[in-house]
Amino acid sequence: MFNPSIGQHNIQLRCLPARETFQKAVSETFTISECFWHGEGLDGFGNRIISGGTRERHATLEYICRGTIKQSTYCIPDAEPHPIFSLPSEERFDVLEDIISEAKALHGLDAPLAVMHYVHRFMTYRPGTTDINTSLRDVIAMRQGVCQDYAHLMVEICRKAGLPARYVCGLMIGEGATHAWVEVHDGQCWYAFDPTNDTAIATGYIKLAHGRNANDCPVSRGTYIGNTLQRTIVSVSVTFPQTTKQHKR
Amino acid sequence: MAYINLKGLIDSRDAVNKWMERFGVRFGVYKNGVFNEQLFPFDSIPRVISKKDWDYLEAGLQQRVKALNMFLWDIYHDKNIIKDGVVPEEFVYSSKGYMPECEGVSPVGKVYAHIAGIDLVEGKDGKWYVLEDNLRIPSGASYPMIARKLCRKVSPSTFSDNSVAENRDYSELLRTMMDDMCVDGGMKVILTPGRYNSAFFEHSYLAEKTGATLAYPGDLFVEDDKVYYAGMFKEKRLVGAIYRRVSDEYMDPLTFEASSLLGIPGVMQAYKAGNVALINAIGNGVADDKGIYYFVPKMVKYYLGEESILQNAPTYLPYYEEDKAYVLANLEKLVIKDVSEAGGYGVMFGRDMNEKQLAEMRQLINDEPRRWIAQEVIDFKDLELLEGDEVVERKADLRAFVVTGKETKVWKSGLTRFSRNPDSFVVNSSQGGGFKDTWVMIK
Repeated sequence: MFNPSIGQHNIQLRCLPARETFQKAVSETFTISECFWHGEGLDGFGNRIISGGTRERHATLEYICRGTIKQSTYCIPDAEPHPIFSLPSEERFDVLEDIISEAKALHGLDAPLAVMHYVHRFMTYRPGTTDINTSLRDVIAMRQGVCQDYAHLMVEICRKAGLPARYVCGLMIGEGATHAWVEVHDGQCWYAFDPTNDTAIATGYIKLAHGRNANDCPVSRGTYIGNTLQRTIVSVSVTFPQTTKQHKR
Repeated sequence: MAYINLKGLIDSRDAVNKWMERFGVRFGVYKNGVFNEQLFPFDSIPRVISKKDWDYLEAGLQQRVKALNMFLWDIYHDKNIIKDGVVPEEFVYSSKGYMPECEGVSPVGKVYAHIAGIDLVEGKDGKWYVLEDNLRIPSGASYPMIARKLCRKVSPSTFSDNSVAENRDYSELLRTMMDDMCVDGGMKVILTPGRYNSAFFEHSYLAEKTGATLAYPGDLFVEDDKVYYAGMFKEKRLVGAIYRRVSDEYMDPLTFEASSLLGIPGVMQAYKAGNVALINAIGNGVADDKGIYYFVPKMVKYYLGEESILQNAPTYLPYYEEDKAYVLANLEKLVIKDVSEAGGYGVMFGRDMNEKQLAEMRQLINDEPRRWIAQEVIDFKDLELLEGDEVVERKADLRAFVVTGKETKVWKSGLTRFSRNPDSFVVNSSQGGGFKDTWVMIK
């Protein structure tokens, strides 16, 4: 909602479930405020995106994505993971050196599991202490944050330990907002880990998009021209067995 | 140079500089956050390139730019050159110019570097060396264009007495290339960040000369994944090709830098959908990275199966242990470049450093070998120029412009920049040098 109304509004959404073999859309609908044109495409990471915009003045933008997903066990075969998911940051964090060496010594999925447990123990979940611009350095210093910070930390440790890792944004059962977790490549497939909940993911997580970090796969991004007050309402509901998924803004 | 008669030009050099001032031939420089626009000093003694040298350069430049375009396509698609071990992946993916957002994007005609500015120097041994490839938004062509025009005005006989190749056809080269690239008969625009850009004179001059529309960021918008130009009367016109003079990271706030007001929101998707040509393509920085430069002759061999006609300056990559050992042992005679910097910044000469600085530099190279390249200092030929009434000699380079549409063509001229400081080897215009016209002889 915008007060006063605005014109020249462009958006880019990553709110459709990713097309992966482990999750098949049984049904899927997307609707958006009438004055917006919209079209579907892919970004450079292969994520599904909806682009849209309008030049008409408007006071609200509403979009709804509904659908039903049928999932098997979370696993994404990928013979050649893109090398950018193996590049850690150039910063050095002394406090992480021990877990990095530990992960390097472990084999197979034991390594990402150890990293996940470590991140879960290291961090305290505290909403409102970080935002999208908080650096990893600050997160490590404060040892608190939300799912995004947990995921960033896990991605960094994995990459430093030589494991290709990527940031994933998606939805989990029942939660009232989007969630973030991590995919780690074991040589054949990407497997998913949720450091916030200390869980190796099997089912129940709907993947929307992935990237190097949160900045590569925001659920929504937009620009408009106008001096206005913006209010955003996000509602996410994922349930089963009468599976309905709703993502509304 | 006995056969070249320059008297008319030299006699009227003040007139040329006056005209340039009147036409606003300026170059903006940001220093300490303050924008200063300066005249770009013109020296009326041209650089003269013989037909024989030019034939060699032309063939070499075409070959080099073809290979660079093939490299860019490969990097954003199959990555064969990496798989075949010719270029190590670290140099590609950790380059700031590599844009994962461009993976799988297929520009019209597989062309990425439509306009390439290749910087060369002529050594005292008479050999030419490539110093740098500029494949993002190389600037500078407008200066020799307007200089030639003004020289003709003040001394027409100079050009009837000497067999100099025409250089006013650069706009024609650009225009043809833009026509070749243009999608669905849309309009052609030159997108400028605006009048506080260092090369604004050039943007407006090239628009005038090519007949393209000079567009400011707010003039363009995206609808249904197509780019439109918002005309004065609110009508919208389809845009088919954008010669953009805005950097990659500011081109689309929905994909890159979110705070950018210089870009076109949504243009990346229009571009991916093949609905508009971006000139130059996005993501070219990965091929003109100073670290990748080392591999360009290898690219020529790999993609074209030919030996590279043009030579690089002898370059060492500390990334390779053998090269690192050489660089650390010979630092005082080498020039060190930070691969992430451009415009003459981050270039250091070992001979100018004291013991402490040399030790620090060695440490930096040891810590981050990937960040640096080292080159032998090329003793390049001095060019004559007028300082008052005196003829003095100064270092100069040559930026050759290579334009690729359906074909790859080299403009028979170029920007010759010189350093005004007799001791300096750095000639970038952002560092306050001057320029000359470049004459290519036709016989």
